[in-house]
Amino acid sequence: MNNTFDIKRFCRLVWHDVRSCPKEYITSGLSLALTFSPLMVLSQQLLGNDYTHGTFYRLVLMIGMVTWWALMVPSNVYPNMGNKKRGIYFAMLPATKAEKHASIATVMVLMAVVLTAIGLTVDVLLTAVHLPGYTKYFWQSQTFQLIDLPMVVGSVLAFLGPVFGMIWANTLTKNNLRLTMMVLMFLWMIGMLYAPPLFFDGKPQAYWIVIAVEVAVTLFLLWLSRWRMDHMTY
Amino acid sequence: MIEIRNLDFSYKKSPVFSNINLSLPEGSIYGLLGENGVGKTTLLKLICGLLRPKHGTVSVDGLTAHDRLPEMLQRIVILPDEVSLPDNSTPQRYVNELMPFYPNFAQGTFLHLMQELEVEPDRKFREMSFGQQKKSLIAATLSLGTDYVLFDEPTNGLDIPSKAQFRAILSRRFEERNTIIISTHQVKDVENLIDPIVILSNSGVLLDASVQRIQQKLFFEYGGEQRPDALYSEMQPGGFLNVIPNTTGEESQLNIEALFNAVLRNKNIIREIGLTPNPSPREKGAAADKETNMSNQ
Repeated sequence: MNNTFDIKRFCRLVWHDVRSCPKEYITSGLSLALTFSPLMVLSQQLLGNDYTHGTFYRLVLMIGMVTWWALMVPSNVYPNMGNKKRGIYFAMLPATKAEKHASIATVMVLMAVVLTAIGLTVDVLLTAVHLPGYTKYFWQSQTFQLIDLPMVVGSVLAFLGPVFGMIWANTLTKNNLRLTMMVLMFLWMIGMLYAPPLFFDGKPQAYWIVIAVEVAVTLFLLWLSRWRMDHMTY
Repeated sequence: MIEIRNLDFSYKKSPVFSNINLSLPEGSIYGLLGENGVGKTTLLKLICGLLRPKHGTVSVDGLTAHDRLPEMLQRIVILPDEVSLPDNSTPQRYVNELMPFYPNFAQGTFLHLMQELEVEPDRKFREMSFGQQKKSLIAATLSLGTDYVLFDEPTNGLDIPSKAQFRAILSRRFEERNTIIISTHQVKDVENLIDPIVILSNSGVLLDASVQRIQQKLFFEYGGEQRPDALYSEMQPGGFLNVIPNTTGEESQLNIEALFNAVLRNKNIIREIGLTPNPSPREKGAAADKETNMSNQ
């Protein structure tokens, strides 16, 4: 029996987590889509492509929505890991704490990737049917042409930080504190998603300052969530 | 084998255990008894690593419990008193999710037990009563094929026929390699099933002995007069039940409730007649300190 990180067991755990609550994923995804899609379509019609970065911000808004969904749903899928009653099931699953930690993060990232792909497909379809305001495909946006490595890295980190922050928040036993942490993570993520584009007209080296902050925060939240999972009791 | 050595545990400032020592070799169905709040559930959680001792060690087959290594988690399962199940799931789906993690899981056993306990494996948990949910979990727990099974108040919520079924299933499915620990207040439900018996109190382990040893040391006299030398007496239809030290060597039928009350009221006598595990040198030291403090007061 391998008591260290075992890749087969890890895959089993990811599969277990993905299929354990499909209904939560579907219902919350649909409710979020129904809430935000009209807003997105409306804002696109108002801003259109006359606004310099309109198409690009449409993309940012969509990805922001999808990633937020990907972050929020696991708090239902891993219902209160810190809960004395409900957390026992997860704690007693025969896998290492590292595998459990990594599996939650993987599920969150996987969900975000899958949902982003779906969101982009919908965006392309809306543009293809010439929905008012949707005159350009997202890759035709002027700003999209300017995407560079620091921006991609910054966006990935903007998501990874909250992933670990949410894992940590899910282990908290006090609901108020957990909710507060989730709101803070949300604000952080939105802020970080918007930060790199804001520097487009400014100094490019500012990217790296943002990225350095993101790296520091992500590493801290990774350590914090891992430490918490190691020391959780029921 | 479950080994508990010099265990200290407290919830913030409320001490629960101080210097507990206990060895639970495999091959028995242990009955873990104690008054409310003495820490029976806490001890079960410590054994399966859900809690971390302040001092001392708890190990399962030599593996430190609170590390919760996969090797240990594959060998041990706990069925808590209160469970929270996903409403939309079914018992079959529940075990399907667990199955890949337990190599000894037996689907046939699960279905057989579900049938015996008269619960449909494909019925949603939300459509079940608490008792039916409990029966589903008992079936799932016993199908996982773990060596160690910890039950916390397993008969809570079960109807009378189900309690008998639970006893029958446990007796039938019990194997030499297994260790089952049942923590309960409903001693009547598990009478004739648990052996050895462990009684906990705030001061530690009051009794840890097999039924045979208890019967050698204590005599349960039914239907007589109340005896002045009884460790415990209780009026019953047809006379008194007296628990007295066994001086003749004659064997009597064990009454666990009476035993429990006798042990709680006569801790020193129980220790003197050898039903309490021998204290470790550290325990002796702690007891001596306690006595000194009391005499100083």
